[in-house]
Amino acid sequence: MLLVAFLMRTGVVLAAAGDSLEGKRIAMVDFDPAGQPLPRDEIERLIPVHAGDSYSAAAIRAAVQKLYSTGRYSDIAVDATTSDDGVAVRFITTRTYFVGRVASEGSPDPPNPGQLVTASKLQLGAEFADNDMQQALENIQVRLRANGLYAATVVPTVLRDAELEQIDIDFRVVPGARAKFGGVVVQGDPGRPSARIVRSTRWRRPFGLFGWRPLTENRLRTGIEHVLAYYQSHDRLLARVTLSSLDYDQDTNTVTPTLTIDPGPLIEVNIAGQRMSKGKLRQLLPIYQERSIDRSLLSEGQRNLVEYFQSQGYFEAEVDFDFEPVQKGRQMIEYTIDRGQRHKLVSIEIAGNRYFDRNSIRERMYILPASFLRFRHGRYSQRFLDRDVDSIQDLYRANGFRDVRVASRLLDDYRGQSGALAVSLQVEEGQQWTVSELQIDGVAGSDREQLLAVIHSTPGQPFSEFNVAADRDNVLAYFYNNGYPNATFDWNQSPATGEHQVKLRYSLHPGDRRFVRRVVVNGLHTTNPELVNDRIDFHEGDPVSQVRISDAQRRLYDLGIFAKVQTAVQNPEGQEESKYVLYQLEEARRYSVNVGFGAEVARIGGGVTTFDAPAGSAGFSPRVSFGASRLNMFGLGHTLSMQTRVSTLQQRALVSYFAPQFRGSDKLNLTFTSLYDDSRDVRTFAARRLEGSVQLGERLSRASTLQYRFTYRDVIVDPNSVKINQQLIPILSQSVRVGQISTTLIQDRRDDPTDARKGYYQTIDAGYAGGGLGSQTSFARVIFKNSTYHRLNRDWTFARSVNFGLIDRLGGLPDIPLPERFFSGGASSHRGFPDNQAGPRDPITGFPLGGKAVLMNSLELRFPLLGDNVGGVFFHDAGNLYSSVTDISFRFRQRDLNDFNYMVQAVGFGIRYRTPVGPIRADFALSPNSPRFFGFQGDRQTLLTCSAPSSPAPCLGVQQRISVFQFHFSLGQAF
Amino acid sequence: MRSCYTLALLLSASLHAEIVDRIAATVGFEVVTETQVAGAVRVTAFLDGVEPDFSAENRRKVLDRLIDQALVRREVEFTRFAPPAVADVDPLAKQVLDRFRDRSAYVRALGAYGITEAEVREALTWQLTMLRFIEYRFQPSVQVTNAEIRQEYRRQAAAWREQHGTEPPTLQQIRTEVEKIVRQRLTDSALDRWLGEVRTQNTILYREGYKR
Repeated sequence: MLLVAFLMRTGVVLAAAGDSLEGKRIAMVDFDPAGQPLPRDEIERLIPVHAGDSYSAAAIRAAVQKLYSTGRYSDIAVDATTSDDGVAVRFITTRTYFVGRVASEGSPDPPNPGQLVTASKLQLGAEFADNDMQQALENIQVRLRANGLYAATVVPTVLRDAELEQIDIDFRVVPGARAKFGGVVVQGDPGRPSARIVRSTRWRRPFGLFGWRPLTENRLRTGIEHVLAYYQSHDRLLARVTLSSLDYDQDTNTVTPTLTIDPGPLIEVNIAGQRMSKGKLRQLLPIYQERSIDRSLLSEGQRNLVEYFQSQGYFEAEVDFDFEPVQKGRQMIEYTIDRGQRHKLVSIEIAGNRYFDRNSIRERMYILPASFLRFRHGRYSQRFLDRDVDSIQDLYRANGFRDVRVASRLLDDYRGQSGALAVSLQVEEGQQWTVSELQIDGVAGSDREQLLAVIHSTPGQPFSEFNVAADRDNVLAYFYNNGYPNATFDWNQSPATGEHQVKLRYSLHPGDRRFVRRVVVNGLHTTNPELVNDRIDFHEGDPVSQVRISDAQRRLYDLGIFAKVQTAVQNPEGQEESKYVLYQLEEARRYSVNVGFGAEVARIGGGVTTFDAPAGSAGFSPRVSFGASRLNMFGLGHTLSMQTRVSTLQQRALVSYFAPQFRGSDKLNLTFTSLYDDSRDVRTFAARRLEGSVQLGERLSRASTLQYRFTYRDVIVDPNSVKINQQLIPILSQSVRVGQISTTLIQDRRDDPTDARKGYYQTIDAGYAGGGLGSQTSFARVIFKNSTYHRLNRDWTFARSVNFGLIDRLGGLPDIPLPERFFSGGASSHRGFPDNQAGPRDPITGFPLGGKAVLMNSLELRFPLLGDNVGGVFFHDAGNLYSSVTDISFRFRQRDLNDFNYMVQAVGFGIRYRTPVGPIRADFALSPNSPRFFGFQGDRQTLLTCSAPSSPAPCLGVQQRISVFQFHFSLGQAF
Repeated sequence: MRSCYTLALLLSASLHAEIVDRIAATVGFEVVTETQVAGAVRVTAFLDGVEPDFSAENRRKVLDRLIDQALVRREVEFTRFAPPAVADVDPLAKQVLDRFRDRSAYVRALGAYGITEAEVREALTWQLTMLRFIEYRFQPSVQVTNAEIRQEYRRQAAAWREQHGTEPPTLQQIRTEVEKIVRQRLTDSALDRWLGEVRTQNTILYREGYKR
């Protein structure tokens, strides 16, 4: 108290003390403590008080303001000592601390550590005030109690870093036992049995077994929502369920919620003049969602009903509503619907447009004329039309036509056709205004050059406020990303001498530039700091750029080893020259496990040891998969993962080691893979494959990637599984070791990889296997695939794809072994074939042999079918696998049952249902020239006998054919 | 408190050193210092023609006024409201000067209060800016209803009867004046409401000696 009184008295006299110093020479300026949060030279530049100056109270005041504005000081006082040399001025300062790492541990989920950190409301980089800790603890306790942890204690550990002026806080939670619900008290006049209400909360376990559930915030909230839903399902839309209290009993560690219930009136919604399902009504009338009844909500329901009927072709639909006050606990709402005659929007006419063509305008319109299946009556309502008129006017105004007018007219019984409607739009463009002169004030030099590149409103260009707004955004983005967080943009226009021209003037005020004082990374435990530092591409002295800060954050997330990457500029509002940029990282769990179950239904059936159904028959294969990953190996951000899959067709184990952003470059990645695969997916043989590979991936540009690969594999073919002519077995099906180098160029310029509308996708893969690489045989392989996508109009897309490949034997074994050949056909290659059934076949058994050349071409016309989510496709697939590149033929007809070197054609129709992960696809194909071939009747022993060179009787073949009709069901477009 | 102890230790350590200024309160990153408070006390007393009151209560009152000024100044800058011209302030400055016998008496009075003519002029400029800004910012939104005018008239009439013992002029006769009073009161309320809102939106910290 004495001190306060002293200081208060000081306040009275200090001004007088200052007055006596006015004009005297300042001999020295000093700071206490000597170590200041800002560099001394920055302080010198900042404050207007220096040794040798004349003392001025105003300058002292300005210095205090300047220092405080930096945000680095929580308190400042100034004292002065007079001597013969003059006045010694001393700034006595107290520094500010800022929030650094905030972590929590010990709390059982819920609430999880992240929720508790969020509850503390301590923001990374923000100022830490004295009472913040108390507030944070209270907030955390509230969150813990809300989740039933009434006995929880929270102990904060605070670590102050004087150098960074940062405070790291760890909240250690000792949770205690979670409270359970101990009953429910129902108050008010619920109008329903209490037991039924309690059951609807679901706070007690089913049938009361094992008592009540533990309290969590989410369970409490959803329980109340369930009670509300219960009432609403009984037409009590206005029911109110309030949690009046939540009483905690420390002795039993239980809580008893008290629910006050007002069931409200019984709401009856009647529809006159039209039948509508209750579900549709609930969807269209907002009184059901808002749980409230007032005139505005009823009007909104009226508009929704009108729009619904208009979307069904009843463009003249009229809806009226009436509601009565509550009487005897009931309230009646009646909507009267007169949907009128059904129409069809058959045409949209646009006239008067010169600057934009019809298609450009139509692309911006939502109303649509009727089309087969998709919108049988068109898409029209007065609101849609008004919105389209606004869109067209905005388009013109954005391009300088500030006086544009668009008038709409609805033509009924269009061209004498009853019920047919047409919309006529008359565009009056007016004159286009352009920029005659652009004056930019406030910047010079290279900044000016850079800015001119992002400014649209340059001389000769259309003038519009839309363009100026875009310029403003671009200019400010440029400044913000170059260390000017306080940049401002002003503009004005004035008439120019030319007709319909304006002079523009941009006044730019960049403000003070902010630089990086230091990049501070926190939260690394096992990760190599170099790994993080390599991904942060700005350093001390660089301008503070939000884009670069965010880019580095993205690169850190891309490593896949951090659960959370928080970033902030410390003391963001402080007016200091240089700033600490903070990265607060939270390392992800190092181990992850996944388990999956599934099944495959396709033409994968047929006997394993018998020779029936060489083209496959419908089969079912259950599948189990298990995977485990170890993230952040050696702290380098590398991932070791193991994935296994077991099904009746395949047993597979894959171990891979992935190094993303290899050697610090986000353009390189390195992968080591080893694979064990025992599969029978190509039905001709079963093979066990052991493979190891190393691949270096290089991203050349945003669209192009190059991969360099070395693969070594040992394929062991099960001799008992081979279903081809025994004479061919030594050539085709023997086990083989292959060492191969290959490179793949991938170019992807599709607008949407899951459902492309424009762009192209192209891959070129070239490989060589030879003795020098440890290979038993020597061959070269090239595969080229090119797909392009062309937008025909707003909804229709034409897509095409060609796939060409060849394998050429260079030495070693007498022919290319079976496992190294091309196998193709199926949903993603040629839809005229079942999976892997294209190309040459064994002349005796009819099983596929694979090809040494492939040529396939696909054409698709993709179009909308029903509404916005169901689409259709007409397709044509042509091509085959060939015995060799010289056997490639465009011939339509199959010459004989041993001729497979011809082009199989398939046409078909497909349906696509759009989902967030790509379209679900069903394709029906008709292949008029699907291959015929000889199948074999008999068992393996018969085959061995009949196919032997000395066999007296040839093998008996049965003519078979790949079905003319094929059906494929899959996810994603065919290409 | 910690900073106060630091200050006390420093003060006792250097007996010759005198505190010449320190922070009294902050509004966001803006500071109001002790010398500003003291200066405002002096200038206000000079303009009111009274002795400066440096009591803790009055200094807190003046500090609150300075904080309000800081908040209004931000709004003035944000809206780019033009400050009054020098010529607009001259008549006000002359009014102050005219209260003294001659210029030398005026200068002596300034010296006695420990202020300068520039500080007086600055205070007058700010007062005028504030008045005009309030008129520009808040008055257009004020709607005066007939009921409010009648209510105010009844209040004024009652006061008139009590004071003069006669019947006051009719509402028709003084309607314009009554409406002006009502408008002014509503404008003041709008300003107070706005200041209350802005105060909650800004971090305002009072230092020791000014906390309540």
